[in-house]
Amino acid sequence: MTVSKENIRGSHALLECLVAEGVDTLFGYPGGAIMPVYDAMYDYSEQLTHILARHEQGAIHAAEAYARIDRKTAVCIATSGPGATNLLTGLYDALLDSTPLVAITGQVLDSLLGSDAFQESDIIGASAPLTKWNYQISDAKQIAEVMRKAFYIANSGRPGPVLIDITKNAQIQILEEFSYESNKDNPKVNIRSYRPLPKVKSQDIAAAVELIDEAKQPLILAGHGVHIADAQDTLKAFAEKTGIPVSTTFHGLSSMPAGHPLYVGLPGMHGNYGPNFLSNESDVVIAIGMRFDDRVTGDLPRYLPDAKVIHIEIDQAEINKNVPATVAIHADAKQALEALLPLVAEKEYPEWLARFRECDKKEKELVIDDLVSTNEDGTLKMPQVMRMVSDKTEGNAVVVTDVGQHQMIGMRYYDFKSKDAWISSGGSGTMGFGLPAAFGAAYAEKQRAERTGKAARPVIAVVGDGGFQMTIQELGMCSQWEVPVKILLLDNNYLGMVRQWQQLFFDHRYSQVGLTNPDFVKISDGFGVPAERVSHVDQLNDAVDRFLSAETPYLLHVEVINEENVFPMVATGKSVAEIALTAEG
Amino acid sequence: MDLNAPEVDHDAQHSYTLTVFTENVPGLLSEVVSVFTRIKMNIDTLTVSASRIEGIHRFTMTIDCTKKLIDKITAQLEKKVDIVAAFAYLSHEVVAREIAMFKIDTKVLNDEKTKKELIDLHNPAVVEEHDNYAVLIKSGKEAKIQAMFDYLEPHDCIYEFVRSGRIAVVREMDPFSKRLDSMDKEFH
Repeated sequence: MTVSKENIRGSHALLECLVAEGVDTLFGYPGGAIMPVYDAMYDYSEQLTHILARHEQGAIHAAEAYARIDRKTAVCIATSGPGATNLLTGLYDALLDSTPLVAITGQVLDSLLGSDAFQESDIIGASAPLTKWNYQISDAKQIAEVMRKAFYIANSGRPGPVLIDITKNAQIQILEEFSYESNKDNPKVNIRSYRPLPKVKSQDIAAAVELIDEAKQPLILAGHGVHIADAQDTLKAFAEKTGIPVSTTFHGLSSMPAGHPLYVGLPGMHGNYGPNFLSNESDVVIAIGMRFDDRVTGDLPRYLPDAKVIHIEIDQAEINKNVPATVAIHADAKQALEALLPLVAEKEYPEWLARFRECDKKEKELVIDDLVSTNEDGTLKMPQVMRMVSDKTEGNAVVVTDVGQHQMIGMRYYDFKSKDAWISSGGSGTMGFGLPAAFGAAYAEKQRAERTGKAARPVIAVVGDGGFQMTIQELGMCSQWEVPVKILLLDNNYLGMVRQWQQLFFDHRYSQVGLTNPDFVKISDGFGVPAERVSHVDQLNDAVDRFLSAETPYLLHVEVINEENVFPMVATGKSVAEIALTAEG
Repeated sequence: MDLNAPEVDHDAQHSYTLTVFTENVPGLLSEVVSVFTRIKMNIDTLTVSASRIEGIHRFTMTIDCTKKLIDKITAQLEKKVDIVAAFAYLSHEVVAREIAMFKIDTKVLNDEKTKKELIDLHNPAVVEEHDNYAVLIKSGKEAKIQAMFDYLEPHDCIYEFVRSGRIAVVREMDPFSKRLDSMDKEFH
């Protein structure tokens, strides 16, 4: 359906584009240069719900997670100057983590551009390296074309954030005629310089099939691209037919259910023992929608020395960037897997798989058993708490985290049974992401439940005491919208990951990592979010039950022991095969 | 150009001529340059102009780096939404020239011996001649321009000197159109 309007202001035209693209939720914060758009929102209150964050960073992180639940392009909106620059961290985060986002910023009148006018910032220049694309609209006549392109670019190929800056004169300008054809109605956008969806080449598939069928010790590394392409079921079918063990990267987590006989855990710095220790013994690695980040590869020259690598990747610039591909399949993960699936042989690798299980056993005995057990004095450990939450939710919650030790614990100790259930800041490691992102995820879950009639999955924000305080004001957003974000604060009274590194690599010289924390329960209470604090194992079970059954936002403040380290660990500069299970190695 | 040509040592330094085809939109120059600033890399020369195709701009750049790096650079450039294609060439794969303008003291041209030597050795075009200064243009390979500069410099007569930076055409027949055609075939 093409939208057509006459005598419409730029601000209204902009919102017409959003509505036509299927947007019903905006995350934002008003201000001077975007006021005409906020005024227009008054007329669109039935089609568009605006969620007021308490800081623009909160708005964009909420939008990011909202997008990642359904893979639907999310929209955030802010004013010019500081409003726009406050979005930059979120844009960077969304770029690194391939998140489809359209950020709209107001701008001063075009006649004032370049004059250092009040709240004028060169947001196009500033955001260029942090966005997939950006554009400044200074004439309302550009709105339709630019917005269509913005939505197309944000959510095609490798998704990413797009920023559209719109000058105030364009917002108030009256268009005699306005028409808009959405990407849904006509998905074909012809941009000569941007071709996001490569065709799968049969010769690449044939070359990959040959390697796969002849492999002796193959390994699948499934990344974020599996989620983005909605290829989880295809991945599972492919793994089950070929019998190849599957390791999921940080962002691939939850694309294979925990406990699946072929699932072998996570590679990387704080991943599992098996997929690190054994990856260098694999002869064929099938990397799907992942980019061989340095946190995955460890010391690059000593990574996969003998493996032939089949790299399925939609972003051409990622192919051969870090690890050379023996066979590159430049394609969407699902399309590539669907092409491979009928051609690969049915196989099993019982001995190879048994070695992963041996590693699991070792990791369980040397690391996990102790960390999930109860201390004699009743003090609490992060893994113990996380495992309890995992068990009680039967692996069916959405877990959203902040950044640090608690994040690694969430990743390691939550046994995901449902897909698209792990939302965390990976590439950029943005502290402060957790709380607003959990709000965005919970809001998306709530909408999904309303749409489908199925129950919303619980959304658990796992945060540390450091990162929580970076965006703690978004308790206000949670409270105002009564979205039942369950905030699990794992408080060790330290910037724990930095402290761990200072202990291990800087000779125990703790520099600026100790925190004097506020009374989190009082703060939460002040925002109208019920909260309780536990510090002893005797309190934990009942507190977690109350936490999980709460129908409002809820904070469970868990005081954990101060100096627990995250292991296993592939230290910087080490080969993945040198993964340490304990501080002693 | 065959990017997998076996004779190129991937880790050795080469002098590359980069031709980049972009949409003509504001801000594109900084998008192109940001690929280099990000890795703290100097661009030796940069020229930008319209191309044969309407609406497409052509950047010509010279870069010294390894094959490994230039491949990553071209991939990063092509990843940008408004960049259509980027090609890297070794010197034998292009015909490259530069133009330089010299504003010099007219006394050099008034001296018959020097003038003859200058014309014989460097053959510049004299585009303007005034009482106190003259403007000469020299086009050619970078070394020839440098040679003319080196000749004039000891005469203490150069008021201004500017060079265009390298422009180049490639020996391969129309790689850009070929790329557009292959993109039509290889993408949905």
